Amino acid sequence: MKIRNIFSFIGFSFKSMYSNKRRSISIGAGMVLGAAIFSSIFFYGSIINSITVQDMVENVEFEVHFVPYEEAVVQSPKELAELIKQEDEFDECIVTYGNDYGFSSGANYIRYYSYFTPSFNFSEYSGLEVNQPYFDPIIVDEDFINTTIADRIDVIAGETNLQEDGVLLSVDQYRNLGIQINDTLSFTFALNRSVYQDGPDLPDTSVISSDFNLTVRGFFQSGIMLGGDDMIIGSHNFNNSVISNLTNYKMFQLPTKLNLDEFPLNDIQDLNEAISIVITRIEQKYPLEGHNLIQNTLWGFQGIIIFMQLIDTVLYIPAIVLSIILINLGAELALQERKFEISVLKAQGASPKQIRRMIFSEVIVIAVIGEIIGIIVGIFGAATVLSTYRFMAIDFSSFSQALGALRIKPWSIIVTVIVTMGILFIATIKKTNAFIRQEVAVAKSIEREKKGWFKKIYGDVIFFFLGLLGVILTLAADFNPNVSFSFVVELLMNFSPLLLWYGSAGVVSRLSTKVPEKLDKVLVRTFKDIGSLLKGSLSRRHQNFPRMTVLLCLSVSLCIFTAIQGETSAMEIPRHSDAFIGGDMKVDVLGIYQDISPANFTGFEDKIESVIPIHFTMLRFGPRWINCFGVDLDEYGSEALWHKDSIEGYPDWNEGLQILKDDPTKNVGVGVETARSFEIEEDPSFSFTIYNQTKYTANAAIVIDHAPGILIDVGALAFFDFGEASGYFMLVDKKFIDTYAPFTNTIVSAIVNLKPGVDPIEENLSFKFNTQFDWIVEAQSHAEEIEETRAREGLSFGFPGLLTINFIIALVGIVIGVSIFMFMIINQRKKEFAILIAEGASRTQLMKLVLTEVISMALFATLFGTFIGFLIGYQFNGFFDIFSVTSFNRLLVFPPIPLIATVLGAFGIVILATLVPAFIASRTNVVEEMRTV
Amino acid sequence: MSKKTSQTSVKTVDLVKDFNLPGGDVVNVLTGAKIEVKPGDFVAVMGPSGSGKSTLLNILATLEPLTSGDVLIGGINLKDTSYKEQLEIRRAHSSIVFQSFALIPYLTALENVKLPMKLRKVPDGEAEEKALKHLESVGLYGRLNHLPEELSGGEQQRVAIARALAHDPQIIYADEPTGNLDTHIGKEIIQLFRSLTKEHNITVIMVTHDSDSAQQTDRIYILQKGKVVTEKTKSESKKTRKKGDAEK
Repeated sequence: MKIRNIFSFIGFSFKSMYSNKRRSISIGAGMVLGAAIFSSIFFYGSIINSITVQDMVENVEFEVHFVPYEEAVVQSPKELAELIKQEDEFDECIVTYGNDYGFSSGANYIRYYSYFTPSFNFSEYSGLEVNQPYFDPIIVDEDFINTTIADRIDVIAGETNLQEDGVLLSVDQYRNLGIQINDTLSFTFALNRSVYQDGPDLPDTSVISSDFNLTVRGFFQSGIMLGGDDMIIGSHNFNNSVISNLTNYKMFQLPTKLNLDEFPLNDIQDLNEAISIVITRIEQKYPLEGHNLIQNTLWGFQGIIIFMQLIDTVLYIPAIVLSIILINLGAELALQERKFEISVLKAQGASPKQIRRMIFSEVIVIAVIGEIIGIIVGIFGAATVLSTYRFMAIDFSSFSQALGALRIKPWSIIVTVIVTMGILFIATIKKTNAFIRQEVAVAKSIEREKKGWFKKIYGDVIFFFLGLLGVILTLAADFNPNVSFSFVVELLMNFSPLLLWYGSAGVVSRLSTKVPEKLDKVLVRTFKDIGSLLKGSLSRRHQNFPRMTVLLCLSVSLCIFTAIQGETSAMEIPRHSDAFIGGDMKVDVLGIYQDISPANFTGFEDKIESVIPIHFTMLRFGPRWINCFGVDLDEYGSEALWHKDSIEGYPDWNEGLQILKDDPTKNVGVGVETARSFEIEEDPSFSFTIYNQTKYTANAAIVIDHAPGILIDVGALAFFDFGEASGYFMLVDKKFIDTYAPFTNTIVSAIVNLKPGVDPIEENLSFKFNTQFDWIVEAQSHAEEIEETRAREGLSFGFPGLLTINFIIALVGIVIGVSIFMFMIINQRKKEFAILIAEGASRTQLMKLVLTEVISMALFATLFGTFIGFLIGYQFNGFFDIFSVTSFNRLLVFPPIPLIATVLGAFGIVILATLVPAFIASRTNVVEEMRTV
Repeated sequence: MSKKTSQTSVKTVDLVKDFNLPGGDVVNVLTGAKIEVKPGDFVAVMGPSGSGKSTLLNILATLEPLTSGDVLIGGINLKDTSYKEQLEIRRAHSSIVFQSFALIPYLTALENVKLPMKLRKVPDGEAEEKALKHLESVGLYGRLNHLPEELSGGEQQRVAIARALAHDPQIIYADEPTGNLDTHIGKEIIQLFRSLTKEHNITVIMVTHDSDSAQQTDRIYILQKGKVVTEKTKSESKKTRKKGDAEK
């Protein structure tokens, strides 16, 4: 086609669009919304990578470190650190000493290594029968003690104080070894030399050995960078010769913190590649070997990312289906208008090619404009939702931050364009070809909906009932936890929400003409003046009402589903905190205490209402161990945060606990998984021993789903609660533990309830407890736990954001869908309205007619959609449970007010969306409409 | 305002109707049209295409606003009325019969005739009774439950006339009522109008291109360039016709 021709077609298309504004708006609106939905979910979903990467680099002490290798090092470690720091890509670089270093010397391999060990008998000190421990030294050069890297060490008890004789130790080791904060202990630092040769290895020789008295200032949380055996100490504790030796033997390293502004944080692969490039450059410049310390961890995160994307994909499906319907609906309804026009053109001798060119040039122009607007709306939509939530440690607090974080990649735009344009073109081709094929004479007749092959074989009904079957099976499993299904049945149950959702669309389409007919009879009686006219809607339902009903039903069901799951997700976080903290606060205790009371919290006695110490001991069950927690059940039952589903079968938990209290040395509560393993259904009695002592018998009288402040056994599906996996679990009265393990039990934690009016956040109690009491390893308030969970776990998968996007999409879908539909219907019925006006119909009567026509359909679709939404919300709960922040059952919440608001809101939106078309109908120009025959 | 007068006359004085086109041009359709129709008259409005016949009819039927001049329906000047008042006038005094019959396609003949009465909230029994009577009067008693698409053109127009009569109007505006019908059926429709004016004292103002149909009326207004250029009474019209026949 000549360029001039193309422009003439585009010009013609614009003219046609301008003169048929409503038609253009219909196609355009469908397209804008379709493109917006697609692009927003792509943009939103694609930040998962970015969030994961950012979360990790935010929480890591350092990302890269450099070590010298077998080459002469001219510069001192400090000079090298300074040189690295000058590079744009590095924010900070410090010097630490004390790692090992090996090199080849002729046929020998020589290795220098260093360590700390207590210079006293550790078993005597701790009272525990343990081997003499060793610690890996991390000697921070004194010039770098107060750097950001040092500040990033996650000290959970005590403080980051390396001044004078201060050292930091890992909390993992000290939990086992029982060292207390502020204990001053003597250690020996040793620097040894090993020589490996052909033949027998030579004995290690000591290069340096010196003794220190060091004071434990704090315990750090070992993690990605810092190991459980590490001991962090300042270099000022060592004399110059030791540091010189460590330097000479190249036993130093240069941990660095990256300047993250210089790196792509949106993608794991890109970030790793960028780090590698920088490392290589440094290696070329200086005699150093660089290590990307976060590489493996980043790849480890890939698994989580895949899970997150899997969830996202499931949540995308409804939105994508809705967008397909909207694009299709907009195109089909708008093209329907051209049926007669095409016939006239055919009669005038237009070839199919000419007709197609005419229609397509217009559709393409509208689609391109709609696509551009849609993608822009999608970008802003995704950024808005993103800025509303916090993900892990990342908080896009401002819209601009969220906008900047979006990962708008060419593929996401290309996929959006291909899919949305594809849908539009398929709809256009289908419709245009149908029009071209039709006889000119029948161009004005009503087109009847044609059934596709899937509907012909009742595929939709089969899907619907399979979905329903899945829900029924889930119900059965929920009521009887011991019931088990085969893999195929489990698969069906997992897929049932989607089957149900998709199937319900088909079923509602079938019912869309039948059920509202019944409702119409009521409406006809109610609105007598327009009653007979309402019959018109019946004759019209076979055309567009099924599609409209499907759209409405799917949108409403999506709204209900998101409202249920949104609320359930929101409730999970406080539930988790209730169970995890158990009261206002929880303190993890280090060391052995026979009892804890408010008196132990010196200076805070007037703020504390009660303290519930949690005693712990290990019992043996055959070859396995059971974690046995003992509490004063009177206090625990009345003052801890229980839930109705905490004890299976006892919504009033005190009734359940009473069974234990009735026979405290015999009756115990066991965790759900423990109960299953012990097969207590068959026989609740089981025997246990305290180490190798006599066998005792206990009775598993109650099954505990979750107990406040106590970590219990973890369900097989709690993939991400690694920290909570603690084997078998038993809850007993304190009398039980006093009877069987009077000397071996320890208090591991305590639930602390505060006096009314004491705000732990405002008074910074966690920090104060952590720093002022050396026996407290960690103190955490309920509110802090909620905040932490929300930040780190609750939103890690972006559920709330996706649910919100889905909710918004569903609501917008209703508005746009109904508006497009009603605009087009009214366009088709203008002549009818003109006749009615000529016959004396008032504007109110016309508006009533249009609104009433929609009411029966909206009522049916809303009710059916609500029913389906409930079923999907229920069925999806199991799916979300897999990724839940809690190790116990995700309690489905049906929030009455949001649900009623959603149902009424959805219905109201339909009515509101019909108001404008109805208003337009009431102002039909009779003369104009009656002029055209 | 009285909803209904016993003697509803139609009168226009210096009626002007301009259409403003999107480009800014103004089309002067009526440039001072003047007609006067007495109760019970059967008049025809003729003229070449674009002379403003249908526009005149639409203004009289309160379907289109006038630009200037006066239009008096039963003494009420349309110039001074609101949309609601015009609706009242339309409901109280008049009915319209269109060339394209303008029946609601999904309503049966009976329901179509009942429609204006339902819109005016006439009780169902009364509406049914009247609709049956009028359908019988137009000879369609046997086709009560037929949809428009099941009726012939003539039958559809009869249903339209029965509908127009349903709420006892004093004026029927007919816009080319025989335009879509063959000559024979057209004549029948004109006879129907004629009998309505005689038997029910209903005024019929009919726009037509067909001079034969126009000859059946009491008076013919001929519009040209927006003005009534000729007004012929029935006798004058007959003379003209006879003269024409003689010349042939």
